[in-house]
Formats: sequence, C-alpha cells, structure tokens
Amino acid sequence: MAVRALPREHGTRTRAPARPDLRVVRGSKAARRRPVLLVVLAVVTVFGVTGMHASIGQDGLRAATLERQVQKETERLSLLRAQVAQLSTAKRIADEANKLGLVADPDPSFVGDTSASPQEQAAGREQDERDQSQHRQALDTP
Amino acid sequence: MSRVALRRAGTMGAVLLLCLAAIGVRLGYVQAIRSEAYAAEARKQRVRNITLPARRGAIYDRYGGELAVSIPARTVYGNPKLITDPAATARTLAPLLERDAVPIEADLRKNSSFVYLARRIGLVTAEKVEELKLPGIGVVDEPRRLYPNENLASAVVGFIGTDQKGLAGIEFGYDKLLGGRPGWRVLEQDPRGRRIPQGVFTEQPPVPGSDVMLTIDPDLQLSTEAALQRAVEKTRANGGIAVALDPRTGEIFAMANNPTFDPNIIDGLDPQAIKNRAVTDAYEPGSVNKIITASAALAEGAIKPDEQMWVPYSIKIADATFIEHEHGARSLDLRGILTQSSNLGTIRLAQELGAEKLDEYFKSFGYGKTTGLGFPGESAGMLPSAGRWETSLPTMAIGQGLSVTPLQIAQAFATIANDGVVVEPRLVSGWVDPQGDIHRTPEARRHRVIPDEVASTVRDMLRTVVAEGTGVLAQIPGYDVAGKTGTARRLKEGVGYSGHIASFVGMFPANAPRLVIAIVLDNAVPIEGGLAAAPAFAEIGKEAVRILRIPPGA
Repeated sequence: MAVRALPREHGTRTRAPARPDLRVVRGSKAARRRPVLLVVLAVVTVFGVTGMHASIGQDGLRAATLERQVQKETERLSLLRAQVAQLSTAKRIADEANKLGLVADPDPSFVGDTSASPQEQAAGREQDERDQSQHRQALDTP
Repeated sequence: MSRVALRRAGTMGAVLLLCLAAIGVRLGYVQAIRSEAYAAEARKQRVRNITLPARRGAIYDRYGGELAVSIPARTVYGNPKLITDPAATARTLAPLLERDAVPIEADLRKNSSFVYLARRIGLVTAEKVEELKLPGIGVVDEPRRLYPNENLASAVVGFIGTDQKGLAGIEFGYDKLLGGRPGWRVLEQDPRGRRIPQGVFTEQPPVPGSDVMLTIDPDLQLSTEAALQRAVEKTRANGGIAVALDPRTGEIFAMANNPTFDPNIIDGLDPQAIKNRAVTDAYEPGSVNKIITASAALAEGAIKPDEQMWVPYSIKIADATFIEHEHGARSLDLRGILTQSSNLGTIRLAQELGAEKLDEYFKSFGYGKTTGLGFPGESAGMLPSAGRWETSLPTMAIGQGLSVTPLQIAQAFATIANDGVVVEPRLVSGWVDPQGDIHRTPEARRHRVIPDEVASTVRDMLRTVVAEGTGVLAQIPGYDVAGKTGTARRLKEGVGYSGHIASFVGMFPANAPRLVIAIVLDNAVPIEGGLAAAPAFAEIGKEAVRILRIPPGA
C-alpha cells in the first residue's frame, strides 16, 4: 500500500515542520485483482498439466495393453494357421480318405473325341493348358 | 552464557560443520566426479535394449500349402545367481516343463547367470510359468519352426538350427530371403518390467522374411515318396531317389529321397540321411546314358535310324575285353541297340563318333556342371575326358567311368522329351516379399543341343524299349511311355566297385511328353533297372496322370 504526506495547513503552527501525517492510498480495482488472477492461473496451469500428464500416462498404459492384446491375437492366429496347415497336409487327407474307404481308381479311363482333327486336338490341348495355368494362378494368389 | 556452555556450543558447531563438509564433499563427488557413471548405472537399470526377432518367411508348395512355417513359442530360462532355493524352484517348475526336478535343480545350481530350462514351449505353459513369479526365472519369445508335412519333401525343404538359421535344403539356400532383418527397441521399464509410459521409447521394427514358393506338387510328392518307399522295401535296396519334372518348363514336381527324415525332430540325425541326394550325390548311370551316345551318333550322322550295324560278341580295347553276355554276334539297328540295351552296339557307335565329339555331347547335355538349380551342395558330377584312357571312350559311352546326379540324368531325358532343347530345372517358382508383392523366378534358360527330328527319333526308339524291350514293367495302361533302363556297377568310395545301381528314366505321353520321371535304387535285388526300378516308375506315372490331369494323347 502506497503512503504519502498530507498538505500542510498555513499559519496554524509556527514550529519547524514535523513529519507529515500518513494515510492509506488505495490502488485501482484492476491492480488489486491482478495477483489473485495470477495465482488462480498458476494453480489451474499446474493442475491442468498434471491432469494432462496423468491422462497421457493412462493412454500410454492403455496403448501398451492393446499392443499386448494385438500381439496375443496375432500369435493365436499364427498357431491356428499352423493347425490348419497340419490338418490339411496331403498325407493326412489321403489317410483320412483311406479310413473312409475312398481309394483312387487304379485304372482310370479317359473320354476322348477320336473323331477330332489334329488341329482340334491341338486346340483342346491348348485350352487344357490354359485352364490349368489359370487354376494354378488362382491358387498361387495369396 | 557460561564458558562451559560456550565450549559445548563451539564443539557442536564444529561437529556440524564437519558433517556438512563431509556431505558437501560426497555431494561434489557424486554430482561432479561420478555423475556420469551413476547416471549410466541408473539408465542401465531402467532402460532396456531389446532385439526384435524378424518373422521367418514360410515355404510353400506350388498350390500355396505350407511346407515350413514359424509359430510363436517361448523359452524359459533361469539366472542361478538370483535363485535362493534351487530345489524348491526346480520342484515347482518340473511338472510345468515336463522335466524331472533333478536335472532342473542341477541347471539352477550352475555357476552361471543364464541357463535354458525349456526351449520353445507352448504359450499357455509359458504363461503359467510367468504367473508363478519365481525369482531368477524368466520367459522370452523364441519362435519355433514347424514342418506340417513332416517327412514330405524334407530333404528339399531342409531345416533350421536353434539360432533360426537355415542348416539344410531350401531353408539354407534361401536363408537370407527367408530370415528377414531383426529390429530393436529401447524403452524404460519399472522394476516389475512394465514399460514406463512417458519414458524413453525408440523402436526399429523388424523386417519380416519373404515367403518362398516351390514348384513341388504335394500330392505327386506324396505318391512318389510312397512308391519309392515300397520299391526300396520290395527290392531290399539301401535307399532310393526319384525325380519328376515337367520337361517343357523344367519345373520339378517331385523330388523324393529314401530313407527320409522328419525335420521337426533333427536331434541325432545322420548327416548322410538329411542330404537331398537327387542333387548332391553322383553315381555312374549305366545304360540310361546310352541315349546321349545314340543322340550324338544320329545328330552327327554316324548312323542312320534304320541302318544296320554289326555288333560282335566281344571287343578288345587296350587290355580290356568287352563282352555281350546274353547275345552272340548279330546285326542291330539303333532301335535294336537301345531296346536290347546292347553295350557293344553302343561302344561301336562311340568309336564311330570319337572321344572329342562324345565329350562335346556329354557337356552340352549338362554333364560335368551343376544344373543351375541353385540348390545348396549340388554336385556337378564327374566328367573326365573320353579320350583320357583308351578304355574311357567305351566305358563312358555305356555310362560307366563318369558320374551324374539323378537330376542331371532327368535333365538329359527332359532334353529328349523337349525336342532337343535343354531347359534348366527349377525348384523355386518365386517369392512373396513382406509387402505382399509376388516376384516370379525368371523363366528357365534353354538352349538347343540336338535337332528336333533327332530327339523325336530317339524318343520313338525309347517307346520300343518300354513296349517290347528291357523296360516293359514301366508301362502305364493307356499311355505311350518312352524310357530306358539302367543297371550300373556301384562305385563305393575307398572300396571300388561294390553292388549295383538300378535305374529307370522315362517320359510320357511319348509323342508330347508332359512328365519325365527318374528312379534310382541303390543296391536293389534284382539288380536290373528294368526289374527293380521300372515298376516304381509305372506306379508313380499312374498317380501322376491323375494328379496332373495328363490325357493319354496329350
């Protein structure tokens, strides 16, 4: 609080001037509120930053948990794929088929058009190769 | 204040000053002199540098079926220096790890800070071990390689070691491509091993390995291995090899070795048993080699297809006498020489050709060099000059005194099947990179060796071998088969000639072959290729026409 001297009264005293009387001078309202605002702002900032840190920490933990979950699921997928591969091997399918009584014809017969000209037969062979190639490509595509 | 009090206060002040000075000195030592070391020590406790293993690529057959895959697994380890009660720890772990407590305890008492307790165990078991929170016991990721087909094409696929590096077969040959590049992660962890969310965290993800696609047809491979197994058992052979390939593209559909092995269980395997002998072992081919002498003679005009040649009962060359055991002197054309597998007829053809020409044809058919397959440990065989000794020309003409791999002999027959054009065999059709892009192996290199009419003539003569000659047991009902039998003396290292190699190599349909199959049996009884190996060829052929959908008159 600022303090200043009162104006002297003329002719009332003859002695040497004494120490002036003091009085309280009040500042403006805005000036008085400034420190309060600063304190509030500081407190809010501290709490805000702390809260944000806590939130980031929580998110980090959640991200770590999710990462672990993703890894677990990926591992489960790999194991299931391997299981499928084991169950679909050529040997297992052949064994299962044999158990069910399915056997390959030892003397397969083929139906052919003996009346076809050599050109038609060649065209048929080419078509067969194209079919097989397409079949292979379809299977090769992951 | 009295003098005593003043003295006491002074003493106390001095003690306090001394304490403060000591603290100050220590503070200076810690903060200034040893600050780096302490900071590093603290970092070491918090910051972990973890290597992230790369996923090893899979190996697929031609239809995308898995021949080798990596699956997640865990390894349990111990730090004996942190274990206070090894006996109790061993007793707790034993039922989970399916091991006796005694050896576990022995491991935990070792003077070491790291011991393996169980490697590549299941995830569930590992989780149970982790839940026990035993001091000094830890669990790490260590993927396991699985070969779902077990013995199928095992010598081709190969296997990996405990360090995840390929040791044999495609696993070894394509290790760099399959292995990928490991990554790393640096992070801060709390004392319980959890990541500190806002701590140090940098990561270089691993680059997964590429998947390799083979040309192997799993069904034909299975049939080939089964037929080979039956042939080996029936003829009481020491072992056998079979190769089936498409002569037009060089693609290998099946490559079988007997005995075979399961790559999932590699401990204690005989190193000889794991070899892919179709490419690593060379043998003297015997009479199947006569097709090269015959092709060269026809191509060079040494004989015409219908020309008759006088074949004597015996020929003396240098100090050796070559005798035709089962026949007397007679006149034969080239078809007759091949159909009856006449040694002396073939020797006479070679004499007409000369050593230099014969050498040239052997080389152009691919003898004496690797096939270009790129398989690890592939043998080039042995091709000395036919002019080296006086007896080299006649012996090499009939397939002795030189050695080839079963794949090389299959390639020579594929050349005849392919109208005189050599096509490099292929086992890898391509690979899929981690981004999923498919990279096809470049087209097989090819070059002409003999004119197409010569190849066609030889093929026609080989039909007679199967129709009415030494190879009748190789017939496939409904199909024209062309092929040649081989019965060769077996050269054993350090022993000399001991036993026999029986073989049959053939192709079908003879007019436009779609498949070449080579069968080699080691020390079979009967010793003749026509009796021991030809039936196995027919058995595989019958399955192949069904699996590959080969019509009779293709």
